[in-house]
Amino acid sequence: MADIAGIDLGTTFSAIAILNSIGKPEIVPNAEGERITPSAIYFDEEDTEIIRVGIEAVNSRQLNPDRSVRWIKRYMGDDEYRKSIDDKQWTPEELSSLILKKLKQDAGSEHGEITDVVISVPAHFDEIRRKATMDAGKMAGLNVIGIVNEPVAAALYYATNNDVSGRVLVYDLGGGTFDVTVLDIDGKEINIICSQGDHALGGVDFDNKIVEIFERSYREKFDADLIETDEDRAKYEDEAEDVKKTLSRRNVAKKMLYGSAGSMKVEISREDFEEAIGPLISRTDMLVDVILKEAKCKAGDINKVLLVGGSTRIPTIQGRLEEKFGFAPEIAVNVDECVSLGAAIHAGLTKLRDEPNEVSSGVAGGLKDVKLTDVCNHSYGTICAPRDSETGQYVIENSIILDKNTPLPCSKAQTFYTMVDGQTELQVSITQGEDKDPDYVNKMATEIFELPAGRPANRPINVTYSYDANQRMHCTFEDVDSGSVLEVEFAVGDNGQLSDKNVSAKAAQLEGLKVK
Amino acid sequence: MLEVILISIIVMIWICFGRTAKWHIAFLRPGAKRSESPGSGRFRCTVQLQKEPGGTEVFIVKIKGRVVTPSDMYDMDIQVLLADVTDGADDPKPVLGTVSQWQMEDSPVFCYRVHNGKIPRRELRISEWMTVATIRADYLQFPRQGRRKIQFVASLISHQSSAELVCAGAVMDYENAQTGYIDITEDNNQARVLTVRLAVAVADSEGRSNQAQLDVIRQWIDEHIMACQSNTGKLVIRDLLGGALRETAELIESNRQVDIESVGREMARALEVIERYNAIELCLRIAGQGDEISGRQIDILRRTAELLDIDGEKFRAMAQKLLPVRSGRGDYTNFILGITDDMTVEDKREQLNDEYCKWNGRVTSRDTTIQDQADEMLALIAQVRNDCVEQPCANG
Repeated sequence: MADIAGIDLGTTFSAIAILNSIGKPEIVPNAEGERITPSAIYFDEEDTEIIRVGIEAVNSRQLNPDRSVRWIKRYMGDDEYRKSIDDKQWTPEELSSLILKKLKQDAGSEHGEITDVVISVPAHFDEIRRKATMDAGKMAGLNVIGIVNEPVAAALYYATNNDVSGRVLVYDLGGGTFDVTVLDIDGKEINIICSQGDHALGGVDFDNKIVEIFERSYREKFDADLIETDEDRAKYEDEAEDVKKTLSRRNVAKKMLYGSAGSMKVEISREDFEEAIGPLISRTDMLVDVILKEAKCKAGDINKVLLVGGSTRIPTIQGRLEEKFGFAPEIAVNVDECVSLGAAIHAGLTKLRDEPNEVSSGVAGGLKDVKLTDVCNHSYGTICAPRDSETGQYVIENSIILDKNTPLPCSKAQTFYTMVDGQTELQVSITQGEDKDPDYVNKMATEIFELPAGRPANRPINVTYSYDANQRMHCTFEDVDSGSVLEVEFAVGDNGQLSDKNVSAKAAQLEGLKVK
Repeated sequence: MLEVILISIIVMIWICFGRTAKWHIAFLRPGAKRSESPGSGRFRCTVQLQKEPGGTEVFIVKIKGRVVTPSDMYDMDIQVLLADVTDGADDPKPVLGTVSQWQMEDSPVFCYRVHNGKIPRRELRISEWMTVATIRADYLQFPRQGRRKIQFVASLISHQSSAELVCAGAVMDYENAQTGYIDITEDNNQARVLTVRLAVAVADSEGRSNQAQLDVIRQWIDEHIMACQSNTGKLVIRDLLGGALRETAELIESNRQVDIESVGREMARALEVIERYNAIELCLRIAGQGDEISGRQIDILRRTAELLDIDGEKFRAMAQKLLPVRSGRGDYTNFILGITDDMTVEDKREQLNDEYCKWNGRVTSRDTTIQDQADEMLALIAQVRNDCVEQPCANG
């Protein structure tokens, strides 16, 4: 039986874990012997057949930033992003697939072939980004059997390795994204209450604040720019990351700045750093406030705060959490590894549910008591035209049918009505987002529903949305009078961006590439 | 000038309402021969105004006299038409029906027509006043508010051919408490003029307006011209609004300011709720075209929204959508984020949390413009939270 694996495809680092013979997850080190792999890619200039992924890519980055890619996760699902290398326009999914390919390759050489995997994504990722992540996995030759939210994966690992019960807040501040999840744990039974995330908040943003301090200090001394080229920027981004890590251990960090106008030494204190990242920290505070409100609880109702992600090492973050909750947050698990470890458990649970015969008895026994109830990550609705009570005019509005944080599996229905006499078709849209204003929600699908002719207005249309445990959504539009039904079914993120055929074709193209 | 406009408006209304031949024959023009039955029993009509128990005013139309039909068992309809003859019998204006059942086929002009049935013999004598129609006043729309002279014309007409057999008219004075349709059109046009003035004032609030702002105003005027169905109407609106644009621009060029208070009050009086929203949206769109929003623009916009009785939260949602995120002014930032001076630090925290939650949900939009705007809003919210909540600001 092939190994079941979980992958944390992170903004700055990625990791892979497999389930061992008794269903316990274990990190598989990469070819360099490291337990986590930098999510960096470098297209070798000398040998264009070779693509470097990981620490070698980080080290080569400063030599030629144009051939280097980092933080690609921030562009996942962005259909306008392209990285141009030697006449090829690389999409975020293709680039991410190179990182996954490296993980698969390295783990495969240590164990048997890795095929069935669950990949983790930030809880706030929308359907399009989730689909893009799955596509990246398929392009890397993986059989992506599921997607799990990063904080859920962390909580799964935490709950299965610690004797814990009560309400837990998972605080996941990674390299590029920030998620908070509230869940109830009772032994190995985990019920997700709600999740919230900030897509552009993580270690990279803290690093950028330090780069700004470098630039400001240099300009004050020499009245000149420190950073003049992409190479300079790449260099000082790496220096900034180093300063940030130092400031997690010491009160002051020192660096030499070499610019065209001269060189200087800069000293950055922890206070300087905390002041610079103040607004970013405020964002983390707000997200915690928002999730507590969404979970309908107060800080005092939380029994444990679990830290996940490398950026939680910043002392001020731990200090603020302690101040807010009245107790120190828990670093009971390795903040860099727990997501991939939890993803491996999730992969085991998925296999057990869908293909129990393909799971070894040891793994099945190890996971038998683990129970997970997840929730809908977003609200889903449709576009309708109610009358505004104040103006008396019809207004185009997004009406939510399936609320965010509804426990899975779930099904909700609402009745809408045709608008005009003789209406023979209805444009049905499936939306994702919490806003009433249709400009601010994403349309996942739009179809035309044919209706019988010659009827007056106000004929009822029943709309039913359901979401199963496999994260497949089913939408049904039923014309009550005629019994005619339009069914729209799609997998997570299936917005028609890439068909299965296209993904397979891309996978075949990428198969021959050498990833080191 | 005003008279020309007024005449044009009336012409426009007539054209818009489809002044058909059918409507035309309803009026008893000076010198026109009345269709009367020969003999002693002249066909006559009278009207009485009554109040029903619920307070509804009704016109009771009665007829009497002699009617001669072309044959026995002649099938007839009864028709009552109305005209406003306050400005003289030679200048009748239509009375409109507010219920489609009592409108002419191709226009909203009031027309009461019911099937009377067959008359057994050729000659019919009605010796006592006979009620033929009870017309509710609230089913009618007169040209203007106030004291009106209303002419009622009752006719007996062929059910088959609609040929008129006999008709008679009566005129009565009526105190119309409702706003007339000419009043409404004048008010609407005046409100549009005021909207243009206000829009120019917003664009020119710092003594300069850019081309993009003027284009927005011109586009708004063009939309109103195009919305008018008749060519005459288009000309009237074009002259009216084009003139307002020029005059206001000249006023501002001569260093005089538009009186926002009186313009806003007049607009609030004249405009329907939806039109008030449309007016404030136009102003926000114009302000959003500028490089940055000025203090005076913010003041004008906020005061106008108050005068137009625009719901505060809806106004702020519109402003968030149409105005730039940052202005460099603290009061603007507070307005955009919904922070008021009377809020405690805890209130501010909650308000900022709500705004953060809202914009954090929008930041993953597929529309890059919305993504950028959401990114900017999130940065602004975080800055304000950091400045005003973590380290309470002066008024906190």
